[in-house]
Amino acid sequence: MLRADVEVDRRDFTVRAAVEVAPGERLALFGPSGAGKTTLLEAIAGLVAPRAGTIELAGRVLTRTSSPRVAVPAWQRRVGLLRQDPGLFPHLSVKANLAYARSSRTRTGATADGPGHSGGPDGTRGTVSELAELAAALGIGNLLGAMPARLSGGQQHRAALARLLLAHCDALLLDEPYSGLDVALRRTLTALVVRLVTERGVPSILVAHELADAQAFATRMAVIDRGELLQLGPPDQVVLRPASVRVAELVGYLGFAAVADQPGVVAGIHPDRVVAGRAPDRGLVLEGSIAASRPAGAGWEVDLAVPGVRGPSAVTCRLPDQPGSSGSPLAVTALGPPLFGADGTALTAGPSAATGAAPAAPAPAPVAGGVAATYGTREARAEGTGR
Amino acid sequence: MTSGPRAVRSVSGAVSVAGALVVWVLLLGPVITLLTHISGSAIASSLSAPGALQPLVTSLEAGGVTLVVLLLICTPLARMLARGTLPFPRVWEAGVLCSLLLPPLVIGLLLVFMVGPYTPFGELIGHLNLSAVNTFLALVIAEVYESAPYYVLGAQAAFASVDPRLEQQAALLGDRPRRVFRRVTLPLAAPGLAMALAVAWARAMGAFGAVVVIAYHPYGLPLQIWTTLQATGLPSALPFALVLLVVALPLPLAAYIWSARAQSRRRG
Amino acid sequence: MVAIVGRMVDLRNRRGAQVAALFAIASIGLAAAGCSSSPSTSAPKVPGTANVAYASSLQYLNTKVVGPAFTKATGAKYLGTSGASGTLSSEIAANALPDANVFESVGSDNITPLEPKYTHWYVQYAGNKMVLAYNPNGKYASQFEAIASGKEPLKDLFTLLQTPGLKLGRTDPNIDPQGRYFIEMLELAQMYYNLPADTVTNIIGSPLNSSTSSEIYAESSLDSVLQAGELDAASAYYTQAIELHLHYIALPAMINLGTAADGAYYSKATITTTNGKVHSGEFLVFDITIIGKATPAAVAFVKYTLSSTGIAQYKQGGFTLLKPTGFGTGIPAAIRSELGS
Repeated sequence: MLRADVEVDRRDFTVRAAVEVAPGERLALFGPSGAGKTTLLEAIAGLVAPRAGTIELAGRVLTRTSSPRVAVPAWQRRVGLLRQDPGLFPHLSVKANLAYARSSRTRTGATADGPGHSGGPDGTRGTVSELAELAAALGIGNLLGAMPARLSGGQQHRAALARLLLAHCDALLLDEPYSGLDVALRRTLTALVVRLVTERGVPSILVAHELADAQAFATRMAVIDRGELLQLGPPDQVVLRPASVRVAELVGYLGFAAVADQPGVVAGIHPDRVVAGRAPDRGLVLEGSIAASRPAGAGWEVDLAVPGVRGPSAVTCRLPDQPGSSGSPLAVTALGPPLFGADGTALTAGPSAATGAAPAAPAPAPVAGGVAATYGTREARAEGTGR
Repeated sequence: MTSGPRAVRSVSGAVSVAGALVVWVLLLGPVITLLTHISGSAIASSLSAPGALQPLVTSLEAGGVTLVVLLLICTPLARMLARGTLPFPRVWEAGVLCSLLLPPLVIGLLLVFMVGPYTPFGELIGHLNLSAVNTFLALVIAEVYESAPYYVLGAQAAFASVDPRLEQQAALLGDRPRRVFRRVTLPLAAPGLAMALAVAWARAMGAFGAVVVIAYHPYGLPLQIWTTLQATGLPSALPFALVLLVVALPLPLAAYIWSARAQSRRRG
Repeated sequence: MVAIVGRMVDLRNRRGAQVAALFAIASIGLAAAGCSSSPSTSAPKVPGTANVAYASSLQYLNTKVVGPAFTKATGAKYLGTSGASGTLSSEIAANALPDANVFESVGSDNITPLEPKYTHWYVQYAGNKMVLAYNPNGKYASQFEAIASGKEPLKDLFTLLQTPGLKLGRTDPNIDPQGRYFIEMLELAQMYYNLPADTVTNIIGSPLNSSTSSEIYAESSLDSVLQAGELDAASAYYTQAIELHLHYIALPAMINLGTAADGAYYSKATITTTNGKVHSGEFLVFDITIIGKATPAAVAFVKYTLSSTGIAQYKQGGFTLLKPTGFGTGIPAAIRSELGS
């Protein structure tokens, strides 16, 4: 179990976060660049000291700023860190890199194994056979004698991962490790890490600024902006039910439409949750004209100019079929959009920022105003308030 | 169609190489002159005179001791300068630069004020019957002062070239700081350190300005050349210059070769 | 401190003189092309540069007094190179000082090796004498002062110098004439005062002509080390002591190599250098000669030095004045007129 509740000072702001990751659980820290995600990881790893707070791992207190003060140095924390730069030692062969922790841990191994610590299959750590097995499993078995400079980017990441796993850390921290690698490689490596981390029951935290990476990896996702932890919950729920307008912006909501009959209330429009045509029973209907369109992946991205919509000048949506020409009218429906009040916080019941409680069903909400936009549920229609 | 640009490229390439060759030959001018002005008989007679090779031994011994002293006392300073953990880093760097900027002759004159027999230091070691003027100790002190700034600057650059994140990674893999230094920092900085030592060696072997003031004795090779010149003239002094060259060259050359090989080994 | 800087500057000039000489030659070319820029007034303008190699004991005099006065008087430029007379002689012989056209040496021993290739004559014109400089703040200062003021007899000096732990400084007898003169002075003292036969070896160690005694310093740094207070006593010329304001003990005429009349006595002290040559004590004289072709500037410089103005400057510097006497053949007429006055 990894528990971190800290305040870490940075140049421009303070990072304040409280996270808890159970063994085998995978937490993603998602947020824009400079949000403080790396700072949090570095605090857990012991590379920076928090101004206040506590960090516990595998039953040991690693950092405590209140008395009795504890500050376990980085080399005794048994925390593994994988960065964008794989950090293989250039003067050692791949095999020597992988085996690096073997001599340090067994030498300094005075620190006792905490509860929940995972050792090797037979309780030993980093034996030669384990190294060969792991290298083979990761597809670098034939590269053991090579020097790191000869490896491709993906191979280096796998080697760095193997090195960490052979070190039998109590927690695994990954700081945007796959930036710069192509999508297919990212997917492969993410799946690999997920499998290995689950097998070994190690709590892990991934920092990502690509939503897709975070969602592919995590069992729970935290959204961080400017040092504040804004929301914590299952990855799909955080995106479907963001806790505030700010979170919504970060997870990809590109437009906010005013809702009829509710002054100050807006609905978040996500390009991926828009279908062509009018379906008032499924969500909010928006009518406007096509401002621009372009191919996106296997579909089309359409900028829809909808009068009265706050946000970028048009509502962006992704539709499977080719839209009409610029200027022609188009009606779309935003499926089950989250609603936000005048102060920017969510109105619909959803996962709260503090706990990982299960989401509630979307509650009925009144119709959008301004334009011919409607919203409602079957129940509301049945009651006659919908159209 | 492609032969046009390619020809231009090869001509400009040839011109650059020619230019570099000219500069290189100019730099070697004194060495070439030395080789052309020396005669076999002069070499034979100068080197076979009694005691002619003692200064060579003295130079080698003093140079060796100097290198050990530099390694032990200047390496930590260079490391701390590179890490940037010292307060007021610019002040520290300015200090090292000052010691580099002082001409060796001035260093020698000022060393008299520092370690002469009637200074506190001189009196302290005088109790042990040692002296820091005109002794082997004085020679080492003069050589250390002449070569230390070069070593510190070179070693600092070598340590600075080690990515601190590699050191962090080593720590996270379980190494305490001293082990990180031994297993990661030092091996990665070693080629640069070797070059810095090679430069320091060259400075120490050729040290003259400070040596002539406080360590006139025992003679090393530079002083032997100087006094032979005064006593019996230039032709008989040149063979010792050749000896200095031949003897002092292997170490820095070896350091250079080793450093280059270490780099290419890392490239796989 | 001025002397230290003065020496530093001139030691630099040793090699910088070559570059400066190039500029001098360039300016000669300009002068020849008709660009006259000399501000000299009524003095006859002498073209060219007097490039003078001189014994280091003349450094202050030449650099600060004679050189500038010479340029002002004649319009010719002055360029000086200082060094131990023996070294300068070797360098001239090896053609390492190709521009030097005047040579001022202590003793004719350094000029005779240059004959007949570079010169055939020299003129003796000034003298010097040995003193013993001492550190006024050292352990033995009071004893030295007592001897200097006459309170203690001078012969006690040579007993004092044998004190173990007393730091004495001198120069290499195989390279620097002053190194030899110091030893000869000690030998004369031993004879003169009837001191025990091992006095000299007790003071400077054995063998006498050794270059490796720890008392030996480079002649360019000996005074600096004394002035820094790290020596108790050092060998010195009288003129050096005056110039650098050193405290010194004057030595009697019979041992200080400073009187022409006692030349025969001086020659009783000998020292054999490592190259086998036997040097006998002699009256310390300065000899001047022209090296190579007698250019107008070189002749003018020698003439100026030997003239009454020049000689007066030497007198002020503490040098003993001699009647300029010529030795050898082929002395230029302009110089011959200054002899014997």
